[in-house]
Formats: sequence, structure tokens, C-alpha cells
Amino acid sequence: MARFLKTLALTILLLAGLDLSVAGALRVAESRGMLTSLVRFFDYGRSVPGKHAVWQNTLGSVDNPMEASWIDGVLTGPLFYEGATDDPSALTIRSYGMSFSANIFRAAVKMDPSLTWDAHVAPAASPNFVYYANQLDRPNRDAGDIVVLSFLSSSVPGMASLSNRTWNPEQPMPFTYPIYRAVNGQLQTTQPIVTSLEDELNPAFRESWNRQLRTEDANYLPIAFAWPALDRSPFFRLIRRAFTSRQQTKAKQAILKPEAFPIAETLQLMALKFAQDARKDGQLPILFLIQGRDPGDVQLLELLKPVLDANNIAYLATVELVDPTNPANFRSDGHYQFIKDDIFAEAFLDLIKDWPRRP
Amino acid sequence: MLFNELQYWVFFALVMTGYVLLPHKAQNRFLLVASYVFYGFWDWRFLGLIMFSTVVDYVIGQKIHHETAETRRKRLLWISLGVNLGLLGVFKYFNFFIDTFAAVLTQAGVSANLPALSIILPVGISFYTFQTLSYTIDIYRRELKPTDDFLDYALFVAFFPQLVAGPIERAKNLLPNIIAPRKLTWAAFERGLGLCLIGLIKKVAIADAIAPTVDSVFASPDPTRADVILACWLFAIQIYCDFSGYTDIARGTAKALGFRLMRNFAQPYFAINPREFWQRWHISLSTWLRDYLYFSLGGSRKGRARTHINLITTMLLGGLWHGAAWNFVLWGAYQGGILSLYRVLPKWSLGSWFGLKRLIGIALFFQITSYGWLLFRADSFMQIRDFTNRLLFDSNALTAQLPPFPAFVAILIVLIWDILSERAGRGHFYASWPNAARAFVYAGLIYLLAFGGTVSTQSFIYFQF
Repeated sequence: MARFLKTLALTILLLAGLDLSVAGALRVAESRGMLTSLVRFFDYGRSVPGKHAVWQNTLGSVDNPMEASWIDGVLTGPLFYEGATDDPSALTIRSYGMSFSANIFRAAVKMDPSLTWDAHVAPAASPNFVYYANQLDRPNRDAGDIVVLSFLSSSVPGMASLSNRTWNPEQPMPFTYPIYRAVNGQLQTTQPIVTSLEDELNPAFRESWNRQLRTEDANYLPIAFAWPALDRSPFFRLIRRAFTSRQQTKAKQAILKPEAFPIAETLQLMALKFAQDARKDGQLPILFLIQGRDPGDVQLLELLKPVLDANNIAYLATVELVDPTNPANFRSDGHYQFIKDDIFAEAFLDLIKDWPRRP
Repeated sequence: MLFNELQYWVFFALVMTGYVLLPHKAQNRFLLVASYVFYGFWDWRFLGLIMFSTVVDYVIGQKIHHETAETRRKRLLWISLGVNLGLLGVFKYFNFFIDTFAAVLTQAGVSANLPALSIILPVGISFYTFQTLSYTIDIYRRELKPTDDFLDYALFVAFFPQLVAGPIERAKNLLPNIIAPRKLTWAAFERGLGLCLIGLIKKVAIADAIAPTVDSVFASPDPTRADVILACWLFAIQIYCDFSGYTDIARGTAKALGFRLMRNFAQPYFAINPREFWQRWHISLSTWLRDYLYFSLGGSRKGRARTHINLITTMLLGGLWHGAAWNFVLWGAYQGGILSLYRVLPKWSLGSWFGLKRLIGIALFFQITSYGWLLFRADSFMQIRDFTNRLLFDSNALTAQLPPFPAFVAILIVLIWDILSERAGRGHFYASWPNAARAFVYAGLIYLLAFGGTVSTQSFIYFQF
């Protein structure tokens, strides 16, 4: 027994020593800008409050995730994107989506520089964020615009969330959005208590906001939020990441079950209402259904095709043009190859070719 | 309850705590209950099946032992074979044979609407069926005396560490370990935990981490030659780490409880020929097939031609044991074929050249094994043909995404571990090292497990068999 206990004590001691060495090495690497991917690997395991605390220290810096994609910024951000014409009389595309859809529009405006592109984008935007942005931006659109709503298959589990921080804890961007849920043919909305960075940083909201996340966000995982003090140890960061990713996979799989969340009905209602609103406003509604490379994702076209066909809603389903099961069609970061974006862009230009240009 | 989930370790901690407090017989009863609870976690409906199989073989074992007339002994053995293989046939192979028969009829122009059963495969059935069969066959061969204690026998069948995916224990090895009081030592406990640790690294940091790459290539409609080569190599590593990782945890858990389960893997990819490979890979199955099938068919005692037929038949059935699909049969035929071919080829010495010859032999034979894994992993014959064509004629560009960096670190560590085990001729080569050295190894392994354990949990491949 003595030998065992001695080995056990030594193991714990050496483990602590190893952890301290790794922590020191990571600190040096970070300060010198070395081994960035390894530093990021360890950072993924920080708690959500821990990551937010790091980002808060650099508020005001370029691309700070803490400040990104809050709805006010998304709606009032730069109107016309690179490559697009700034001629106000040009045909305007109002898009609500994420990087996947932005890549397609970037290719499209390159092919047809006469287009104007007004982009409202958030990282890994879930369908509820996209629909929310589209709803709020409705007064800013004009008759004759082309309005494009993009659904990304890998972001569908985010429909049961109020913020990326819960369903994407490795990159927990804090911007918020409502949860929509189809109930008796209507979209029932759960609004987040926090809707801006000011709210987020306001201590008065903290308790009620945390309570709302815990009780109303189906992707909330206590392990991703608890004990931020353990973030000091790279070892505990790894442990947290391991358990979080396992639990998150299970939570996402659970949400995709019809009895847990009415994914199909909600997406169908969103598509339908979006198209009805746009048509009422004299605009051309188009839906992008972007299938990611994960075979476990929901099949967006399968879920939505009946509604799209029945209501004659124009759509671009990437799965009809490029095989998402072929890894060669994707870049290492999970986005489609640029050459595939060109294929989607051509298909999009084909969809809008008969839409009348402004005189 | 997977070995790589926290739930299992909580279960094990509870079992261990209760176990050490009990006297020997009570320990056995406690372990039996724990084993049934463990099995019930998978699917409680199949508890009846394992209990039925246990009762049948216990009773038949007793009767064979006490029976003196050879014809009656043989009849009893056939009943045992019939019941066990019958259960396996119904639960594992019924739909496979019905589908195959229907396909043959359709080919012949006869439209057939044959019945199919909606059956779930009971987890571990192939393993415990072979284990109980070996019990009755050994008694029939008068190589084993049956136990009189039914509950001890029930524990032999259901012992939870090895219940769902082996090793397929022989009664000669495990029963005495159950019947006699076990000595629990801290040294064995430490060795057990060490085995669990390396097993978890193999499973979590390697097999689970490289699975998405393998899956994506096998799901891809248009992989390149480089993709197929990468997928075959990685699947070879995945299946080894998945299965031997499971076995390490099973053996480690059992060792902590004072049991000694047989070694199931002995660095199989260090083999330089098919015979050596099967002496190192899934040893409990290969020795089972040798002792109960190959020898029963006549082995190599009935002439050269019959030896080859026996070898190929044994491996075909060994392939079918893995699953109810023709690609497993094809894999069995491939293994039987290369074993048979190896028998007739001249034997070269792979000594000298400072070990370089053996290294080249290992690298070359790994390619042969890896191609075999393509047959094993493929979803259809069409895919086997397609991937083989791509291996021969396609472009070299790699399009598949590589596994994460920690997986490569873990592969390197496991390779070093296997080299040291090979040199020492035993898995616990570090047992005689000083405390500090062993502690350093454990601390490093724990850190590596955390480093590589950030991928999603996957079920063990061999659970489906």
C-alpha cells in the first residue's frame, strides 16, 4: 500500500508540475505570438465566462468577439460590401446569413458587378438569428429588392438557444437572439433579456440573464459555465473541453429529435412567413439551404422542400449542386471550396435573372 | 454504459468499494449482480437471453460430465451447440440469410416476399455464446471438470469487464479464478489502473479522434488514391486502438478486482506474415477458432489440400462471426487466402541487416493487412471494387481532412509503448521501474488523455459483433 500511495502522490505532484510547465510555456508562446494554433487549442477549454473575461479585456480591438454581431450592429453596419457597386439605383440584394452565404454573394457580385449587396451576417448564425435580423430589417428594405434568407444545417441546433455561447461554447460569441417555436401554426417567440453589449456588461441583468439561459436555453451546459477559476490550469481546460464536447454532442442530438423541439415545423413556418412578408413588400424572397459537411446535420432540403414547392418559393439548395458527403468539396475550415461557391453564385444569378432591374 | 464514459467509472468505483468489503463467496454474488446490472444498462430485455444460455450450458455441462455413454454425451453436446448457435442464428444471422436467399431467388427470376424479423442484436451475444460453447466442448472433451456452483458459472458467463466484447475467456482460465479466493494487492490495482489508462488513450485519443476522417472517406463518392490509402491506414489504427483499447480496460478492470483475463493483442502490426498476425490479433478468438473449429475439421492432419480447405473454412466462418454481412465473409476469405498462400510460399529469413529486414517486412505486411481492413470496413462490394480501382489508377492528391494533431501525438506514444512491450515480452514492462519513473509515466499518460480526449464519444466497433 505504501508503494501505491507513494506512486499516487508522486503522480499527482508530477501532474501538477507538468501542468505548471505547460501553463508557463503557453504564456510565453502567447506573448511572443508563437504556436498560435496550440494556444488556441488550450483556450477552447476555457469556461464561457472565462472567455468572455479575456475578450472584455480587449474591448475596442478589431474583430473582438465580445462586440461582434449584436443585432443593432448587424442592422446598422456597413451597407454595401466589397466588390459590389455602390450605385443606389442598382438591383439590391438584402441578405441575412453567415459566412457560407457571404462567400456565395462575394462570388456573385464578382460575376455581376452591377449588383448591390447589403449583408447582415453573424458567425455560424442559426436560423432564428437569421429570421430575427430579417424581421427587424424589414422597414429598411425597398420594393424591388431581392431578399435572401440563409439556413445553415450545422447551425440548426442553435434554434433552441438564445445565444451562440450555449450551443457553441468553444467560440461562445455573446450576441443574442430569440428562440422561435412553432405552436399551432404560429411562431411563438422567447425574447432574450439581454439584447446588447451594454446589457451584457450591466451587472443588474446578470442574475436574471443567467437564470434565463439555464431555464430556457436547451443547449445550456453547466460544465461550460462553472468554475471559471479552473481556467488557470491548462489541464482542467482540457478536461472541461472534453466533457463539454461530449455533452454538447448529446444535447445537439437530443434537440434534433422532433419530440424535443419542432425543428421542421419551425423552419417551415419561418420560410413561409419570410416569403409572405417579402412578397407583400414587393420583393423577391429566396431561401438558401446550405448543407454543411457533417453527415449528422439535419437535411434542410428534405425538411423544407414540401413547403417551398407548395408555395412556389425560390430556393438554392447547395445539396442539389455539390455533394456535401465529399470532403474534397470543403476547405479545411469547413467552408465550401471557392470554386463551389462560384457554382452556387451562378445558380443564384440564374434564379434572379428574370427579376426586373430598377429603371 | 461505455468504458469511455464517466458513468462506467462511477459504476466501477461503486462495485470496487462494495467488493473489497465482502468475503470471497459474497464477492462472487455481488459481481454477478453487478454484471447483470451492467448488462441491463445496455438493454434489460436481453438479460433473459443470457440467463437462458447460462442455465442451458450449466445443465448440459453437468449431464455430459456425469454421462458415460459416448452417444448420449455427443447428443448432449449437439443440444448445447444447437441452442447456442440457434440463438446466434436467430438474433444475428436470420435476416442476413433471408435477404441473401431472397436476392438469389430474385437473380433466378423468382419474385420472393420472404419474412424478415425485426430483431435487435443483443450486445455481446457472439462473445458469451462462444464462451459458453467452449465450456461444454471442453467438458465433452474431458479437458474440464464442470463447476457445481451454478452462480459461479453464471459469473463466468456474465463477468462484466469482458461481457460485451471479450476477451472470449476459456473456463479453464477464468473459472478457477472465480472459484478460488482472490488476492487483492495494491500492485495489481496499480497495474490494472495503468492498463485502463493506456486503453482509454487508445480509444479516446486515437480511435475516436481518427474515426471522422475514416468515415468521411468511406462516405465520400469521389475519394482519391491518397484518400483511400490514408483511410485504410487510419482504419487499421482505429480498429486496433478501439478493440485493444477496450480489451486493455477490460483486463485492467478485472485485474483491479483480482482477476487475470487472457491477453487479446500482442502488438499485431509488428507481424511480418499472416500466421504471426493471427497469433497477435484477437488472440482469444483466433485460438478459439483454432481449438474448436480448425482442429475439429481435422486441422493439418488430413493432407495438404484438406489443410488449405480447413484453413479457409475456419477463416470464412471467423469472418462471418464478425457480422452478418458478405464483406465480413470476404474479409475472412482474404485472411484464409493469405494464410493458405503463406503456407506454400518459401520462407525467407528476416533476421540481420540490423533489424532493417524485419522493419521492411513489418511495413510491407501492414499494407496487406490494411487492404484487408478495406474489405472489412467497406459498405458494399461496389465500394470495395471502386476503392480498389482508385488504389490502382487514381490521382495522388489528398483531399480528406487529417485527424487532429493530438491524435498523432497519441499514436506516437502508443507506438513507443508497443515497442517497449514487444521488447519486454509483456504489457506491464514498467512494473519494475522505480516509483518516480512509473509516476512520471502515469502523469504523462493522464495529461495525454486530457489532451487527446476532446473529441466526441464513439461506441466501440466490436460491440456490434
